[in-house]
Amino acid sequence: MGAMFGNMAAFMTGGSGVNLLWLMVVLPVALAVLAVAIPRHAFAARSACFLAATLADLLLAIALFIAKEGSMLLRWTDFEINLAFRVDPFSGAVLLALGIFAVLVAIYSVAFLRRKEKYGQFYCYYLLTLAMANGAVLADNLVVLLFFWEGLMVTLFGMLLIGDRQKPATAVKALVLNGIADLLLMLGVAATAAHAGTFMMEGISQLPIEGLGVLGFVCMMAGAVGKAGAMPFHSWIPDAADAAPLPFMAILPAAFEKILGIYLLVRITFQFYQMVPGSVMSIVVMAIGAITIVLANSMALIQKDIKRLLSYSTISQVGYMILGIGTALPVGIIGGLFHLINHVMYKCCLFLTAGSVEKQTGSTDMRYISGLGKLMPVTTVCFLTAALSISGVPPFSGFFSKELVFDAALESGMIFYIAAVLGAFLTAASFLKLGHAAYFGPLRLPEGVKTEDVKEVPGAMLLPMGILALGCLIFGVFNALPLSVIQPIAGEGYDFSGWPDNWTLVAISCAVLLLAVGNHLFGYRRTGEGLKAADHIRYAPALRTVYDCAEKRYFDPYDIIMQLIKGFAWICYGIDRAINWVYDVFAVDFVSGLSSRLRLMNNGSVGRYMAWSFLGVGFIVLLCLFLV
Amino acid sequence: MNVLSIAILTAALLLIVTGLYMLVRTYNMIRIIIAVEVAMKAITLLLAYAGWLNGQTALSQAFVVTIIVMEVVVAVVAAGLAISSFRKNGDVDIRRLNKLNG
Amino acid sequence: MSAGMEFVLLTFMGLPLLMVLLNNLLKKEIAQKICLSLGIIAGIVQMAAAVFVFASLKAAGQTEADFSQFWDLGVGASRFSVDFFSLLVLFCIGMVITAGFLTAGKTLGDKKFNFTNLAMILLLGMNGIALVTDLFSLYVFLEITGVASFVMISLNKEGDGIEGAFKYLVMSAIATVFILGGLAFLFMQSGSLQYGDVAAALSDWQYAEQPALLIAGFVLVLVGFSIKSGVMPFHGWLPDAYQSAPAAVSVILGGIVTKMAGVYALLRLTADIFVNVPVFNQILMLLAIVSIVLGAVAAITQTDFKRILAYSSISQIGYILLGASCGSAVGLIGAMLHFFNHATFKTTLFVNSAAVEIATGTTEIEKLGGLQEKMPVTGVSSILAFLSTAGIPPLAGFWSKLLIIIAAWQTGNVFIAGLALFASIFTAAYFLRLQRCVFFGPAVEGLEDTKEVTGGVCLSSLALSAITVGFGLLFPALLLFLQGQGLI
Repeated sequence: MGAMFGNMAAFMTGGSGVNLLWLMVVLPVALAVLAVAIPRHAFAARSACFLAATLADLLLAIALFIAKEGSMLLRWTDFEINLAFRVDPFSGAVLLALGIFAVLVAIYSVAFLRRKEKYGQFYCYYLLTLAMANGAVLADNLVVLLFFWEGLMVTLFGMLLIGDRQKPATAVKALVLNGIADLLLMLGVAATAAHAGTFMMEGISQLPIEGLGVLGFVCMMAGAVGKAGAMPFHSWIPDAADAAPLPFMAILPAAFEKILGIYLLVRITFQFYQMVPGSVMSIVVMAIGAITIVLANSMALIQKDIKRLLSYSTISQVGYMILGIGTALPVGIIGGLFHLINHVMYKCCLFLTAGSVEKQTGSTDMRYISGLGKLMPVTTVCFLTAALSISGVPPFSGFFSKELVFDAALESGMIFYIAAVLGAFLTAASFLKLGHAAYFGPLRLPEGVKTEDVKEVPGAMLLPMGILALGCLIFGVFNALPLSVIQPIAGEGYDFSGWPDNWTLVAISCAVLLLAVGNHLFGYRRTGEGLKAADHIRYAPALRTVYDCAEKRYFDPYDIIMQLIKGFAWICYGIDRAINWVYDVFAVDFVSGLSSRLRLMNNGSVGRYMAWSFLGVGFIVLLCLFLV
Repeated sequence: MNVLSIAILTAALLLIVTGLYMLVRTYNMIRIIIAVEVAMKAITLLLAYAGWLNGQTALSQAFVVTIIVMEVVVAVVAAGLAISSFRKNGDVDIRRLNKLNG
Repeated sequence: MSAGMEFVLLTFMGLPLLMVLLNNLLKKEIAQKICLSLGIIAGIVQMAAAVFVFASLKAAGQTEADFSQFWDLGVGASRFSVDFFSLLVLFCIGMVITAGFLTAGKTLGDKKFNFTNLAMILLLGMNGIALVTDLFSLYVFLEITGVASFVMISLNKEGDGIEGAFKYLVMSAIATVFILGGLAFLFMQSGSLQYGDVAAALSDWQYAEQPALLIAGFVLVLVGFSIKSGVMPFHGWLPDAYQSAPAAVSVILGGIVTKMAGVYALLRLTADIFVNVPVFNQILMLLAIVSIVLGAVAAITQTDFKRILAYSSISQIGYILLGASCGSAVGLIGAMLHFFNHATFKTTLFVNSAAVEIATGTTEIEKLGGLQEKMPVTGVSSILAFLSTAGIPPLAGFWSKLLIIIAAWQTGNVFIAGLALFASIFTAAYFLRLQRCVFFGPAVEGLEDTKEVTGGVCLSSLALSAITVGFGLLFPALLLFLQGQGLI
């Protein structure tokens, strides 16, 4: 088996003179087309094609991961815009991650979408997204990267349209926000290429961040973190949670976009540019991360819908990754990347559990459902595992990655550490609330759903959940395994596996967790319901107004942009009306008035004509006196 | 400039001013004709004077005679128009002739 | 020069006299039948003669020719002369007279006889203006033209012809006074009134004994001819005279008479006589631009077809004078070409107004409407004429206007050039209004049974429109020819 992969790897990476890196991109596209071409009612055939596509992609990814090196180059134009793909250890690992998650969620979605309409479109967009993501990871030329990045935006739009065709508000919102991030990325690419003199990534390495480089770095970074879902590009994700089918949430915002965004961020900060620890840029990146953590977690705390809560939580976890990478310390980088993998795992799992709840009860609103623990035990266990991991409870994976990030944050500045710890508190509080409300507590179901119908979900859906939950545990206990893949990316000779060294940090983290539990119990005692356990924070004096404003979407960047555009349009309309007035009203009246007055010169009497003539004579005589 | 020149020029000026003033102020078509005639006389005076200054007295005499003939023709036409107007409107008041206005 | 050429040149003066004689010597009944044909023949022969002389002069390589009617040419003798500009003008005169006679067929009824007589005398006068070489003869022919036109206007006794004629007469008399006064002052300075002598005498006018007299002379001559041409603010009589004349007379009056009596003389003065007096040009330019703009603006709210055309004439005459007063060769050529174009399109428009008057009996545009379907020829020729007036390529008016504006630009009067260009908007405005009120739009009650006028009117409309379009399309050839002549 290893030999087979080895051969395939050699074959793919140029051993026989033909590079098949492009297969990673082309194969999913071809199978996407095939999936849609198969008639609608042949569910089994379509799903088989779909699953086969994701499995094939996984196999190719494994081969590339083993190969560790390889590239492909097709010259296009003179300006160094070539079709270039490259695989190196980092991108190989990322491809592998993409492939694994793609397969798992594919299995889940086949079962989830079993009786829903438009599942064919979903398969198609899913595979296209996979192809685009592969292309973006493999790209060795900035323009090619841009092309696949934009492709991702298009497929995102398509996926969101599946949810609601009539009012594509969410899709448009996602498009606008992603579009802005992509525009920034384009600007950054242009600036970087100008700074470095080439579009080929191998030529862009370790550029100093000065002059044009500042523009390039900032814009590209904004584009990358925007794709990942950091603030202020985040506001479409909670809305999408309501609009799109749930597997979409599991795969795109939670997994693919994060992976790609952080991948690009790492490339920007450590390959293209040279970010120095403690420099201004580093502080900027860390600040973005810290703000995202705190604000998004605060929003997550007050949500009443499972999917929306998970969305905000997703946004906030990106903040950890950005914070870690922004420190530019090896600890931080490794921590950030490890957190990425962990996050994708447990967030995927959490979304899948939410999907199970939705499938069985028809709703994910915690005001209407609660206490499903007894009815869906496997789901509950998976949820518990993932929730413990995201809260940072040892020995789950989340604990270890968070410790690394805390370490790096503390070394970079106390304020960042405080923000990270605050985030941990809020995360724990939100998931305590979620778990208590949805899975524990008294049983309550929405109208029309009987207890007998709420069974455990089919095995096809349980399998990916279980694998992911198990992964959370394994990556925690045996954390040397993932770290051995990640550590070489930051350089040689780092080893952070095993238990964290800094016991003070561990103690603080555990204290924070206990504090969160205490807070939850306090809230529960106060209100008698798990759901309202966080209300005392929600309705706290100063925070209450902030939360109210946030709920009314005053802080939503998209809405703010829309208001600005409306204002601008109103101004343009006013200018247009003014111009119309000048031409239609003013000019006509003026000329008519002048004309009528001129007509009065000739009122029919000869005397008046003669008078005008003599006046003319006098005027000319005067002129002559001046001119001569 | 000797006295004669001044006298001639003054006379011409007086005639012109009289003629043009009457032209503007009168309401009677016949008087308009007369005013034009008066002004023309001033012109002929000026022409004769100019000829005298130049020494081209013969040429200026020819001019003057031609002018007199022309102004007679014009006066006749004007008189004819006045008569037509009289036949149509009943008097030779020029204030009646203001239908064409604007 | 050859005897043939002499003979042809003599026809300019002799033919109108001949026609008058024929008209009056034949018996009344025959005369009534053929008088209009006599006029048409006179016009066509004149056009042919002009072309012939032009060709002969080109062939002989001369640019002008002198001739005299009754006596031998000697030094100091009064003479007639033709040059290219005179020939152009003579051609225009012939064209407009023909159009006038073609229109007279349907509009004049039993006044045809008188009309022919008067028109022939008018023709004599205008030809004389074009041919003379001294200022006094110019005055004589000017008076002949004026007298003939007064009487012709008053042919419209039932309408307001008498009023229009009288106003024209009074203003013309004042103009005469001014012109002669100016001539007297100029005569004081120079010993004769021949163009060349006067120009020579004025070459150092600043150092004359009494420059004040000379300046008075310029001013008076300028004012006098301005009154005759209808430049603002001396224009009072013009709309009244055009409006109240009978239809055929309006055609001739608006087409050529005003231009001959006033504008041609001013052009001669600018080009030949007052060449050394820049102040003359400056004042003329000012008057011209005022005419252009205010004439166009005043036309916008008028309610009578012919009155709009009258104000349009004031505006276009402004353009001609603008071109002439620039003082450059381009300007003068632009002015001459615009002279010709104005003769064409203004005549067309007056012929159309005659057609409308024949068909509907009125020229008030508010009472008219929707005549396009019923009178298509009139409508189309009206549109072509108006586009030419407004200066829309590729019609003829565009080219001459372009030359004039280029001349103004080149001599440094950029603002005036811009203003003249801007006034084209007003030109388009009043013509569009005219066109819309009369031809487009819904048909008005009472006009359902109007038909297209046939015969001479239609023919002249079509012919003149064809000339407008043809000249516009052939202009580049003309331009090359002029360049070959070294005139540009």
